[in-house]
Amino acid sequence: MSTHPTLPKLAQQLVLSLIPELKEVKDRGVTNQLANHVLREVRNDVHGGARKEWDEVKGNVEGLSRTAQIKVQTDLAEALDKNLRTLERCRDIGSKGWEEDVPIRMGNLPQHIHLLLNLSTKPTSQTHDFAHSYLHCQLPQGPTADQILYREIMETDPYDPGEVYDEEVLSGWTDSDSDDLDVESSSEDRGTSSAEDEDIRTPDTVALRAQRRRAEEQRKKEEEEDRKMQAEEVVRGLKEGYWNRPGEVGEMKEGLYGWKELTTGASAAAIAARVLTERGIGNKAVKASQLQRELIFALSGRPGVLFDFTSDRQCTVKSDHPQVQYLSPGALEGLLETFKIRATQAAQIRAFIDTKLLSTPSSSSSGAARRQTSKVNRTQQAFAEACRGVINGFDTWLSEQEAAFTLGSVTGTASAASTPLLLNLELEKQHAPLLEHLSSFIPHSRSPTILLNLIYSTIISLNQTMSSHHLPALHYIFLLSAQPTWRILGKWLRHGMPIPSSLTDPEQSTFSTFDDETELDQEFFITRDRDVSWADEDFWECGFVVGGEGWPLWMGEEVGEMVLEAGKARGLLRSLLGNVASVEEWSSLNEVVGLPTSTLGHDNGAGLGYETVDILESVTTHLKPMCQITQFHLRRVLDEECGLDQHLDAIEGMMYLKGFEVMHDWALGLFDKVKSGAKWKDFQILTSTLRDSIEKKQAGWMNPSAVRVSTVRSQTALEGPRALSVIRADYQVPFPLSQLFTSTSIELRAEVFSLLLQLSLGRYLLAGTKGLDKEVLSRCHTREDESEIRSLWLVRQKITWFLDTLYIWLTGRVIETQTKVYRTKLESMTSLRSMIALELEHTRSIRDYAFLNPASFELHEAILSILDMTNTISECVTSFLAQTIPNQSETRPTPGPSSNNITERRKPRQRQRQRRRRKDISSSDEEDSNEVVRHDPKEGWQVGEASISFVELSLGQRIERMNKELEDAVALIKKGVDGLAQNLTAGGGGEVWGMLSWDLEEWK
Amino acid sequence: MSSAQDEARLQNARETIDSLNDLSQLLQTGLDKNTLSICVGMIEQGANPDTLAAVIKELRRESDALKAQSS
Repeated sequence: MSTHPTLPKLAQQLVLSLIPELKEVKDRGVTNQLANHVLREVRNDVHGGARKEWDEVKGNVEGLSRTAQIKVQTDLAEALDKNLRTLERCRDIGSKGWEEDVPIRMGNLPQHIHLLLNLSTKPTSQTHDFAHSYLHCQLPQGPTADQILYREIMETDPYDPGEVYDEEVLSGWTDSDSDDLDVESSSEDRGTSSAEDEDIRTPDTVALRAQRRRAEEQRKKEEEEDRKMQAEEVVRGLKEGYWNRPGEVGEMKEGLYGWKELTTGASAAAIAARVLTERGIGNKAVKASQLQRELIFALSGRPGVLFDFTSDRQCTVKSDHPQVQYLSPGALEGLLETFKIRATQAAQIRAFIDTKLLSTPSSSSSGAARRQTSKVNRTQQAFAEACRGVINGFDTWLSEQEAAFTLGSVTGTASAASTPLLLNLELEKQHAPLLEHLSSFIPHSRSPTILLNLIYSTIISLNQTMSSHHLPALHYIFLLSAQPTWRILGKWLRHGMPIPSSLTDPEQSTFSTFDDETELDQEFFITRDRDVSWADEDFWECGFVVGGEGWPLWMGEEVGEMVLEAGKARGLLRSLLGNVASVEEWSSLNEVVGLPTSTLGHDNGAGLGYETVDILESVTTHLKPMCQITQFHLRRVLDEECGLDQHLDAIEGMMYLKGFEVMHDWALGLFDKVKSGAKWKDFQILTSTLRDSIEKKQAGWMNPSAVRVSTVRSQTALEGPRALSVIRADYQVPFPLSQLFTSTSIELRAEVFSLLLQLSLGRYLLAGTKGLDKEVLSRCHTREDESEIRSLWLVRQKITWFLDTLYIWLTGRVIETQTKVYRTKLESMTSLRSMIALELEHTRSIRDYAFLNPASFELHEAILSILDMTNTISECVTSFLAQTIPNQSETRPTPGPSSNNITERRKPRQRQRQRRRRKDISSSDEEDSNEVVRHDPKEGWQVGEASISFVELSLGQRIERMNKELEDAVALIKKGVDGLAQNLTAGGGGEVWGMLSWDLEEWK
Repeated sequence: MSSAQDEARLQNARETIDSLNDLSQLLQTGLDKNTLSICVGMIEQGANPDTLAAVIKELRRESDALKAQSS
């Protein structure tokens, strides 16, 4: 009798289950009404149809599963399959037994499934979640139906033989059973069964034993098959070694696959081998893991099956390299090309390290021969050492990646070497920039300055772009590479420029015939110009100069110049004072920059938060005071030990006639000789007379032993003040002041000295004629003569005024003022280089004001023409006195202040000219000349022979013509000076010229 | 022996109903286990699954209508 609920009751339960709101309603009318409706519908079976069979609903569920697979709902598809298998198994079990009292009969199972299929809707996310959990969750472990049955059987002691049968049963229990068993037992057991076995054999045991035997044999057969397959696999592996065949392109299975299978199950290499046959893709392929190892090995500089290295450490991709499973040839080529670049960079850095660190660096004092043979300098070695630190970090990273890839990561995260792209990403992030920088530095490592400049520029550019990740490593490389240069720099600043022993030990110079000056280190950025010797006046400027690569960027030009001069100053001090006290302890560059020595920041994340340092600022701050102290020391020695001011006083006293008494005394003697035509150009006489005057006036400050006066050869024979243009003063400046007061600056001063002498001589000649005025007047017999003489006096007065104005301006407003400014500036200077520049600037300035600049040649010639007139006036007066008879008998006074001899009439000019043609015009200082400078308003001033007509003219005509030329010359000078005065730019001297222009306004 | 076999059959039946319940959820039928059991019972008593499915859908519509009225 069935205990299951009846259909009406079930209908009511269904209504309440589907409409739970009705449970709360007390009135059961609606519920009953709906239940009746359900009952009626079910009983009437208006929707009726054929009963569904198992295969039919099974096909429906499988169709849903395939649909889910198409929609890439793999979990749902697999869950449906699994559920179907479970139901099928339940169906199989249930159908074997009696199903009278069970709540669900397996025969109705297709109907139940059909109901569910009718009610099915589209899967939602909850459905997929459930499918996933259905697939992966562990079902509650309990005994299955089979287990329960087995247990029950075992409890009944199935091996108990029970009753003993009298008659032997030799074969099957029933007919139905014996049909199958007879065949099997007769064929399988016949050979193995013994007579004893047959005695206890029952139909049950025979069947069970046969079944067990078959199962056992089947199992053994399967195991044997498995072992055989494994053995074949091993043999194939041994036979083909490293290689794995990419496999054939498999036939597509019926239906479609999920993404998982599509992406992981297909061999891209095999597809390419099949499809792209024309590209000659080999049939060898390695696994993805082997590719990873090849990449790591290539980065560490080891060739493999994919990469090779040439003799010059270029990484190349092997032409016959194998493919990689799951990678298309194009993708593989792209990956290999990417890694090839980095592998080449790393390999070349390693080669550089090996080459440079195994070589012997060149020595600082090595000769030219060694310079040629030795190709490695210490900066290169230091740089190689820095590179080694970086490469060690890189190799450590590579080995860690390999270890993590091979052994698995401790943290559980994926290793960077697990995939090619991840490895590339980490490589680019961690090490690629450094590899690239080092590779770009290596070709320039031959020049220490360029190498350090490159590293420094890279640091600066990274600073500006705020890319601080690799800054610590670059700082480390720079500091390590700069150490040799820094040591050489320290030696330069502490010991100064190399000096020959002849300067440090004067006694040795007598015996020393060779230049034993120590060579500078070849790696130093300062070099020695061997074409410039210590005796050259430009030694200080050109003896030691910066090399062709210029100043190091990390030092800057300003500090570089200071370093250059400080080293020169230190060397000069050593030559003057012997072993001077060295500068303080030379700090290492790391201490100066303020970075620890062991800063190698190539570790991951080391650059984050890294506080960068300004190398230029640190170096400047450290070096500047050191250089300034040395320069100040040299300046003090120049002042106190070398007598800079005393020598300058003596130079100016002679050159600029500041030693007035001495120079006036000497000049009068000279002028007398010039006027009288006596021999005066002998340099020994000139020098000795000057020294005599110095001693006579007790002016020891003018250093008589150092003064020299000489003359230069002239192409033309000159007379009057113009003749003094050949005179040159000189002052023998001792070393080291000879570097300051160079021969050039002394020469510039000497030119001014000549002009001052010429002006003085002109004034002297005019003053000499003044003393003859009374006598000249007394010899004027006619009013015409008196008128001519008075005209001559008028011209003389004009020339005197002009010469006085010019002389006073030149000595008082130019030389005195400029010298005062120069002295003030010079006093404040400590740099000898600046002092030399100031000295040259000062002397050139004075030379320019003295109309000696080639640009003011016309003005200078105009002045000389005026000076020539002084000589003409003197000659006119002399001639007049010689040609006229005095009214009263009286002694004719001498025409000059110091003249005490009778002036002879000059030879006729025609005779003089004839004589001059016979003689060398410059061989004798007694030679006279009638060449004068004439001014052509169109062609300017020209030196030429005096016109005969001018010489042959009467006094009145000569005066008239001279007056006219004087006016022209002064007008020209005024115009030129006005033009110069308008140049008000800095250094143009407009104000100084303006004073002369203002003075010349008085010209009438 | 018979009780053990009965228990095995019942266990198989429970397993079958559990699997049907799993299938019900995989097919997103909206039937809870209780309702499914009722449906199984009705089909076991001869109900046509197509008819039963139509009735269930109708009752669901009724339920929605009642909910709409009450709200």
